[in-house]
Amino acid sequence: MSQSPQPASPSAEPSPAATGSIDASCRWPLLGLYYGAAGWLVVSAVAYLLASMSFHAPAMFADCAYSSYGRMAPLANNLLIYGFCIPAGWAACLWMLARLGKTRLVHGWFVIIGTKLWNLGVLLGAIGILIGDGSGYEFLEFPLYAAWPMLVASLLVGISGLNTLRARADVELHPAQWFAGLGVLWFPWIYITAMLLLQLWPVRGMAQGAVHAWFLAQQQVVLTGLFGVAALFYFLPTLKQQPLPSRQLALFTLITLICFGGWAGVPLTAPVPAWMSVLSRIMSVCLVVPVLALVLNVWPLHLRVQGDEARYFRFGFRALLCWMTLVLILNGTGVWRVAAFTLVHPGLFQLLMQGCGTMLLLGAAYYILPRIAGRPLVYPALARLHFAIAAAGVFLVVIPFVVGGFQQGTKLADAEVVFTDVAAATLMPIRVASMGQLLFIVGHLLLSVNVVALIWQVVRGMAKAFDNQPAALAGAEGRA
Amino acid sequence: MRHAGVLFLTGFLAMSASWAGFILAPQLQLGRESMEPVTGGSELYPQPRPGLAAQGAAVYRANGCNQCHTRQVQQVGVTTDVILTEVGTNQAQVLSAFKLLGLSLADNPLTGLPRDLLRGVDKKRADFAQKTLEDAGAKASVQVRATGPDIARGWGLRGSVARDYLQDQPILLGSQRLGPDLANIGVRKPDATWHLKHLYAPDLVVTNSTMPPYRFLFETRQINQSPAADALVLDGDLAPAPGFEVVPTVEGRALVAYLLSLKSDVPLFEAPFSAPPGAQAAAGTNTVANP
Repeated sequence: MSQSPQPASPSAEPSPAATGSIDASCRWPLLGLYYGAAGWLVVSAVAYLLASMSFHAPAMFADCAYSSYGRMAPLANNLLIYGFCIPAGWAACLWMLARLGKTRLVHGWFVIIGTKLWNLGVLLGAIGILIGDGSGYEFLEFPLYAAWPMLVASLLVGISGLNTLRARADVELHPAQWFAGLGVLWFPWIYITAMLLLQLWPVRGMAQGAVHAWFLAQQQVVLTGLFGVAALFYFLPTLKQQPLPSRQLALFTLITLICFGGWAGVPLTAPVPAWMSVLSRIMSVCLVVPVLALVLNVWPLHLRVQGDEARYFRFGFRALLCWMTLVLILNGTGVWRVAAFTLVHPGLFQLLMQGCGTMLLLGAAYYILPRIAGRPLVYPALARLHFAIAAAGVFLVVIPFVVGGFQQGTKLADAEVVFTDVAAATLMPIRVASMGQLLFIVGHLLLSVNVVALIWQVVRGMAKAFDNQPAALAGAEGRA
Repeated sequence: MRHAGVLFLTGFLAMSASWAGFILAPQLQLGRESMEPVTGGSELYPQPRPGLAAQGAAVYRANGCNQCHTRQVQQVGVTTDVILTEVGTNQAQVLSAFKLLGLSLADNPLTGLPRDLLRGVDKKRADFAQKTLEDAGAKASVQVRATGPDIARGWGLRGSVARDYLQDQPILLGSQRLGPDLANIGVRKPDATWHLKHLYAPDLVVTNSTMPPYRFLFETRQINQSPAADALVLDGDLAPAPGFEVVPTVEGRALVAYLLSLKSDVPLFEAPFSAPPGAQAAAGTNTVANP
């Protein structure tokens, strides 16, 4: 590390005149991404709630295969990841690449077509899971026929992002551009590998487990990390109007995140050769290194930062610290044995994806949406309310899962406890978490309301401008 | 970092390293595994699933059974037992050996063979006991036994290993135990009728079960001359109307065939154990862990 950390240039913002043009170039591509993402986020929250209903009234869906827990739970997880997190992450990254590169979004049409293909893929995937075509690989359940449009879409978005990065005005890259640039390109790399080796030409036996674990680490740790840290490195300095303290620390964060993160996916319980589990455990502990480097850079910025969006970034950043602490406790001690196969793991997933990833991306969305639309949010109070509801939802989901998971694990480790008692111990945490899922539905609906209202206003504004055009032209001709 | 090329090269190298470590290396180590004879036998393991069970794997996958059930037995360690199998002709010397080993002489220790002499001792002590008894003219065997809560619950005789999944595509390991582990459910519950009833109304066979019923795997139909062989015998509220019967659909039958095929109860080179006679039967009648 450098002895005298160099602050990242805060200059990176273009002039106000150029800003309007850049935001206008992002308008329709990014509004399309956010429109789909907001919709899928609500559907995902509804699916989570329906899945948890099986623990309130087990016989509720006894006659309906489509709404059984085994289909609803993967549907909810997949829609959260592929429906919201990835498109919302791409939208934030593309906008940051354009803004920081002081250039218009290149090949915006690629993004528009890509968004349609992506949403088609997610729709096919959701239908596929419901009709029983799910792949069986957790968090990667979309069937192969849904994967193709998604893969093409991710390549189109990646090309647009890459060319926007290449078209930048300044040679020097801002740290947020490092993360955003890799963020838009990472997914097609990992997705094509997983789909080829798991579904198209599947490898044998537990080699599938290794590929699956590798993909999950790349997707949930590295890709979420790239999106999240890019947002923190751009928005916190911008909101605080201070430069990022150190480029070197930012570079260190990037390198250690992508080096360690990809190895962190093999569970300690997996029936694989011991070296894989042990290596994965070591790498999971090593993730504390990029997180500490991030903390050193971001901690002073995230305190007392003003703005409605800032609350999302603060919450997301602190959720990341909580997640890292739990990962350290699980992997650095013998506690993992108690937590194995329990609700602790869905709790950690919810903390990372809903508490950290989703909150950071929501903050970015609420910052970006008014700028690309060229007008303020229609209902800014709903955005503030969304934060309060979503934050309460995260607490109501994560805390019961983690606490209840440890209780479940303690009972599971005692062979004298009858298994039905172990299973019964999971009911209350899941039922409490249902209230959190209900809050997510309400909160995420508020985002959808704001996105739809904003798009409606933009379209209406364009229609008005179009209606006024003949009169303006007639006036101009009259003057001539 | 000034150049985008350096950025992408860094990313590529980092991803390539993890790719080599967790995709290429496991493929070289695990991807070439093949069926092998079980320890002490000639039967190859694992065998491909028969047709209906293979269809059942697809039903298991389609309905996300792996969202609640694992298929991986965890083993914490191994321990050894010493079992006296023959006393020989010099019983006085055998009793001396008992004294030397610190074993109780109460309750006629030389009767009721085979008989557990030492349980849960380390290998060194077990070997010493075996040698001492054999020097006295008796015969004793040393049994290796896996340990851990899953084993104690009767979910298996050993921990799961990579070879157990050789015939599976996709592998459905599961990551949650909202229901019990199913790695050996075919050994523990070998009765197809039990599984059919359990799927139709879990409370019928497992008291206080939290599992949802899967009635969409069954159909209620008019009895044609005589009831079908696999029609469920149901009482009370669950009983169908007179003249009707509840039978499993093709998917239901396939799922049960798959569950019955889930057996990883053979000793392997990488997962050894020496089950004493009757151990599997004991696991099959597990009363602690109801599915």
